Amino acid sequence: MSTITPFAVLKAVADAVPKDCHPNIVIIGSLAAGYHFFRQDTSKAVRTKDVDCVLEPFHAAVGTGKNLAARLLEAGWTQQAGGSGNAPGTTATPVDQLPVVRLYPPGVEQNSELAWFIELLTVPESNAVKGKKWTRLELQTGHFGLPTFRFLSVTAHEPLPVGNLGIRYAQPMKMALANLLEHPRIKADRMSSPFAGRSIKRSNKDLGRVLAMTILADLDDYRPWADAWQSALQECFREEWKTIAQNTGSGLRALLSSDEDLEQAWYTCANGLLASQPPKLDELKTAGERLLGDAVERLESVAQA
Amino acid sequence: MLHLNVMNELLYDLVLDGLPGVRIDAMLGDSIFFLVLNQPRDVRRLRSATIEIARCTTRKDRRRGILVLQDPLISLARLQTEWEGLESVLRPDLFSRLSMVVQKKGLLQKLFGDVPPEAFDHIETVIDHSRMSSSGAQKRSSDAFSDILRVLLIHWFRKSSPVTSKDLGHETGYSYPSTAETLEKLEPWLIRFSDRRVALQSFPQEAWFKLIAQSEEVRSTQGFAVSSGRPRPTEMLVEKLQELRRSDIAIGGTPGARHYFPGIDLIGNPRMDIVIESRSKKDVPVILRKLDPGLHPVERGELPQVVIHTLYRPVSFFQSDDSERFWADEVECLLDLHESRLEFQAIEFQTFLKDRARA
Repeated sequence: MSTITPFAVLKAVADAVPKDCHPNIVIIGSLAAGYHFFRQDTSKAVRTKDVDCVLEPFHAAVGTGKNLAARLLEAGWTQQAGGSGNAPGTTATPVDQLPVVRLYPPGVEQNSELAWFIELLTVPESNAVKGKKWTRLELQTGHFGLPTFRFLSVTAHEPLPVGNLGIRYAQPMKMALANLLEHPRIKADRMSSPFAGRSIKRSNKDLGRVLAMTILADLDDYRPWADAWQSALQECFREEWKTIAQNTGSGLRALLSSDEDLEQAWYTCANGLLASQPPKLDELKTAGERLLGDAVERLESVAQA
Repeated sequence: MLHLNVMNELLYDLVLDGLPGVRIDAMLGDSIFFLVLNQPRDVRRLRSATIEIARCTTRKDRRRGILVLQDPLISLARLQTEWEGLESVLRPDLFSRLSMVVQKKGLLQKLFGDVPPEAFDHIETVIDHSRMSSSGAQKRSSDAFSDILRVLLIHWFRKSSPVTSKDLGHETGYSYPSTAETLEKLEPWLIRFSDRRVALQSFPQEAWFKLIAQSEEVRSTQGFAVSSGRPRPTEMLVEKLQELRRSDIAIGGTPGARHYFPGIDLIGNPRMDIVIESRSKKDVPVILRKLDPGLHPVERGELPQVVIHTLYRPVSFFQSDDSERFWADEVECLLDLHESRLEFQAIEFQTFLKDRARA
């Protein structure tokens, strides 16, 4: 994993992509969280290798993706190399087998520990999308896929501006909600590559990030998150929002009740977003209990009413 | 042995057929057995209890045994070791039907094994029953002397009219003989009127010192803290308590003292004191969760951030203000200052109350 300064990376991205693409880009993930919480403290860095760019709205995603990728490739950015999974597809390649667009800045040694890349995703086409879906993106170099997940629309709800750079980033509380919804239980599947040297369940890493953002937000009361979550769900899922909201906390409850899973979540925090000030395991648990009691249960009870 | 098909009925204090000497505290339906240990301190007793509850489950596959440890004086780490030890000596199918529930000061602290979901709702009831059985009756931590003294002080501080023994009995919940006995002890500080009404005529310093010494015990004081992480400000907890809009819970401690005596020399609120009527004690976990879900019972030596005191008398003497906040009475607030070791402020508050009473 690279240790990167959020603003510096976001500025590099904003400078490199065409200005007319800026309104369609929302940065999500640890970089967005890092920028939100550490932007006043330039000494704090984020350990990540991917800069996740969500392209939205959906109808503009393919156009923006083509424009953005073409411009970056022209400027010397390079598509992730190595492995058959990264080679561009053709018209014959099924959409769900296309590689993701992952572009490294010019002159970067891709295998370097310090290397980072931007990855393109998009919001779902409609609120009916469930699970992971792919959209074909035809570039001059071949065919790629824009992945989306059901709850990515939540992360792109009311994004915040990155200073005056023109691009925007996801609100941490919305990313937290998306992660909670994406993991209604602790799934067995593990991250594709080791996290700081350990094999980690993806659910533990994503739910761990929820706890990390809870700690970083450092609120005396997380009830305002529930209100913001409700608005986002109502806007993104219309009449279905209550059904979705009723299940918000089940994954987090499972995490907090399993010492083994919670330890994995802690490990990802201590080696990720909270690396500058690693919390104690108890602290992570307290944060989870507070989020559950203040925000999750509030949202769930409103949804059940 | 009773034969029952009622799935959700609890039966208490049973001896099972074919298991002489094994007494269980409760049985839910005909397949879930509870054994409660109150404040266990002895590992040998714990081991024998686990074997007893295990024996209850041996005869039918669907039987489940739950050992409930109420305020154990054995560390969690040691309990973990004992649980793992049990696993190593029991058949896996038998071990899988056992669970151990650790409860501290009314809150679930740790679960070992899988507790059947239908049993969860009954654990508190079983513990209450066990506690009552072991003491013979519902023993209140409070006592007549301290309760009646506190009520007399409230009347004196508030310059209320003198009261009869019957009034005192109604306000404190004690019988005439108990009330009369306490009044006799307080005779030097009492003024008796011709119509049999009584009132304090001065501050009973000696009795007060005795009350301070027993304060935590007679008020069933329970402390809670966030074990890790930043505690929430007391002011915010007060706000959240207020939002509950409950007339059976009142704010005491330093905010309470400041409510009665705004000029008190006190900056900030080191902890939050809450006074709750005994009938609502079962709601403590819910209330704590509303205040701060991270709160847990304090360990020995740990400073509490929230303290809950139980009021056993029928009349609370809580005061409400224009903001619909309920305040504990002056005596509770004064005792809170002493318990918080804010001695200087306690003396200052006491002087204020005494001066007001004499004015």
